[in-house]
Amino acid sequence: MSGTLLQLLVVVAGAPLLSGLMRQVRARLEGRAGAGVLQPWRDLRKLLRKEPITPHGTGWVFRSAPAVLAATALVVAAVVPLVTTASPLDGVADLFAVAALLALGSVALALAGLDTGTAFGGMGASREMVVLALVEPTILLSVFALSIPAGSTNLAAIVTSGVDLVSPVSLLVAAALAVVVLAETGRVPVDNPSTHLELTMIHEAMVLEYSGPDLALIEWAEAVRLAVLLGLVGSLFAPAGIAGAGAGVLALGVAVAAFALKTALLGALLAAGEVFMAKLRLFRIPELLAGSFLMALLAVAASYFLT
Amino acid sequence: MFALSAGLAVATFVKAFGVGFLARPRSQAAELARESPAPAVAGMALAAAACVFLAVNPGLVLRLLPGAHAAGGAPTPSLAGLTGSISPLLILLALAAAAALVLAALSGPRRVRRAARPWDCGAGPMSSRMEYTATSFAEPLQRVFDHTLAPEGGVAVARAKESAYLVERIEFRARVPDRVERALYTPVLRAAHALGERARALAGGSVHRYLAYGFYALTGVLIVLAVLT
Repeated sequence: MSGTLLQLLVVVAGAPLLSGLMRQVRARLEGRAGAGVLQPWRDLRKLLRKEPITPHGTGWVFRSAPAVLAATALVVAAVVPLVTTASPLDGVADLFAVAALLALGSVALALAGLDTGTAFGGMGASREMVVLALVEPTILLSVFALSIPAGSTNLAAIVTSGVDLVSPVSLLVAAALAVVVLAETGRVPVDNPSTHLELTMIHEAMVLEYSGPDLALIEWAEAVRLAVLLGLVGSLFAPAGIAGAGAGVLALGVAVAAFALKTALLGALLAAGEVFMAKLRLFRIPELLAGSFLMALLAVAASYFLT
Repeated sequence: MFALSAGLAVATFVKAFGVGFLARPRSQAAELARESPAPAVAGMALAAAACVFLAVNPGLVLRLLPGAHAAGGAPTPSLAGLTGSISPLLILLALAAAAALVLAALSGPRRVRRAARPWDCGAGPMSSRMEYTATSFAEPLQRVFDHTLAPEGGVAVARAKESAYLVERIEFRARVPDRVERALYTPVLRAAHALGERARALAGGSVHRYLAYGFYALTGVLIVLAVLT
């Protein structure tokens, strides 16, 4: 219980720092000074002080979407074994439920985009749903492939049983999950999080109407989702350091440090990769996602035949 | 297949609910629409509540299915073969708690919400005709599954007589035909129809001919019976 509370606290406070770190890495590689790792927190503070704005013609769907997104992000952050495998919610939600919770957050935002009744809101919602519809099969198949060797779809069981890193199954799943993380969090080959051109937006077009505290909530939730997904990849393929049930203060401290290190490393790698890559055309994205789906399918086949 | 349909089902739900219920009114009748009387709403609410109840208590239904084993009345059913457990009820409670936590964290001294015009690129108020329709919402997915769906459509541009650069009228047409229906049902139906048309020649309207059909059929059956026994 205390381990899970610690994990929640670390994710809640650390997720904006992770996106700050990624922006900083990007800025340095592009030859800019960068705004510093703390900038996302400063942005959030600024947004929280502004007044919330409700566009004409929006209803409860628009108003409640940020809270739904943040709530799903929080629950996922409590379930996924990042710092400790002894989450009290572990038996409640397995990897399928985690995927469904992430999808629920995206659906809430897409409906909010449609609720604004603007062209951009609809455009963002439509594109996000295309990406989601194509990502979902890959997630389900990767979950399936991972859970066959462990014999369980519960995350703690998968992480504690350990994923064999050099087997073809886990290599294929790792490649498929990497694409999934990019698509789910709207990173560069799929979507550009720092774009200012509405026509190229996917995620930003959906949340175009949000401002003030609502926007702060959405940006924070997106940071949490990115941190949790990167942390999940880290926990699945490098489970070293994660505290088990009944771990002491020292073990929990080591676990937090290991989690921070793994996630920061993955985030820095992702940011460095983004510098050398351009965003894909919207209608080339399905090819990328179909490739990841194929890898997940091969992983499922391999986990049946090679074990 | 199941995995692919799960993703498409989500997109379909968003399209149906989002475009159907959240869009701006597109006609005067839709703008003046009023909510149904309370009993009609209550009936729908009852059905919806039953759906929600079953969704958070899948154990009640799973117990009736052979092969699935709900763990002794506990609200946590688990899969056979693979172990793994989901409890929708507890997830819902956790979500509600998380939402309450988030809202409590944000509820400080709040300034009032201000209503404003949505962003229209500074091009004046937006009309409902600029909004995404169901067709445009599904267009990217339709394009992704182009080879499977084989949509038909095209743009016809009528140009003015004076210059090819002046456009008088643009006609856009899009249709997604059902390929299964076209490839499987239509040939069968057409063959049955053609057979029926041919058979019409047999029924000329003469009573003598019908009596002859009956006589030949009876004789034929008797001959077959005689040969068989």
